Amino acid sequence: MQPDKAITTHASRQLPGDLAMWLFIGAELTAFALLFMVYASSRALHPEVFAQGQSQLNSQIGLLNTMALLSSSYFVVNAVASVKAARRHWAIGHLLVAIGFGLAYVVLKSIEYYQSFSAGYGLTTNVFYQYYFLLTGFHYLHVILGLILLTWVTPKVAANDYTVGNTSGLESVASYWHMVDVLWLVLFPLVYLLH
Amino acid sequence: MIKALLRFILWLLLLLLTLASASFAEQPDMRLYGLIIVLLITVVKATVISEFFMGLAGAPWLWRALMMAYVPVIASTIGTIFFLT
Repeated sequence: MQPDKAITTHASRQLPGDLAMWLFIGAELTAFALLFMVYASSRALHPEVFAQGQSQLNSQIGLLNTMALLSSSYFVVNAVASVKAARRHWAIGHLLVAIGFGLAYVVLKSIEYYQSFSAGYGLTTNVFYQYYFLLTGFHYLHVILGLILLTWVTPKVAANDYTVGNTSGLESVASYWHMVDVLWLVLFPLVYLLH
Repeated sequence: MIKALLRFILWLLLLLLTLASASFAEQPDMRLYGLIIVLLITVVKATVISEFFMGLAGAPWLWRALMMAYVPVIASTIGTIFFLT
């Protein structure tokens, strides 16, 4: 009986979503890992420039953005659970709230960029702003892609395209969105908190 | 119902940990400890997201291990670089 149980247990361990999405997530995490290391190494070489640059950032917006992405992730996981429980209307509601929090992130980040540009800071100001805009801008584009994907799956949930045993597409999008959240969890302390 | 409650509690925990890390980072007299605490909080938050939100607790061990190791490796490397400079 034991070997059968072991086989069953092994077979039941599945990745949420498609393997292709997880390979993509792996590539994205690797790219960001390199950017994080480049940022940290550059900070080690130019501590004064980075300290001065970080002091100009609006950490309150950074904090609110962290809250927004964490909340969005929470509503996305609730949406997936609702589809698995055949509660389609709840799933749509959760997805719409998740999209709302994602949009809040985009608006807040755009305000922050506007404030930086208005104050005369740009990509060519110094090495700090070069990496700040590169890192956060790259992540910002990922948030927008995630929002497009969430907006794409919401009508599919409404149309009952995902059913109790068929949630792979939705789980792939959810996994991507959680990855975007995890990346911000590293970015937030790296750029805003650790001076 | 229990899983929904667990997710809700974890969401509140994530928000509280975020506020805590911002608070620790602003303490001027605990630079090294602040660095360690903020990075540890980051690791805990990322683990919660990976295990409970992404659902990797039920994934094949290799993918789970890769995801679980990602933020600790990044955080310890960043911490080492920051500590040495």
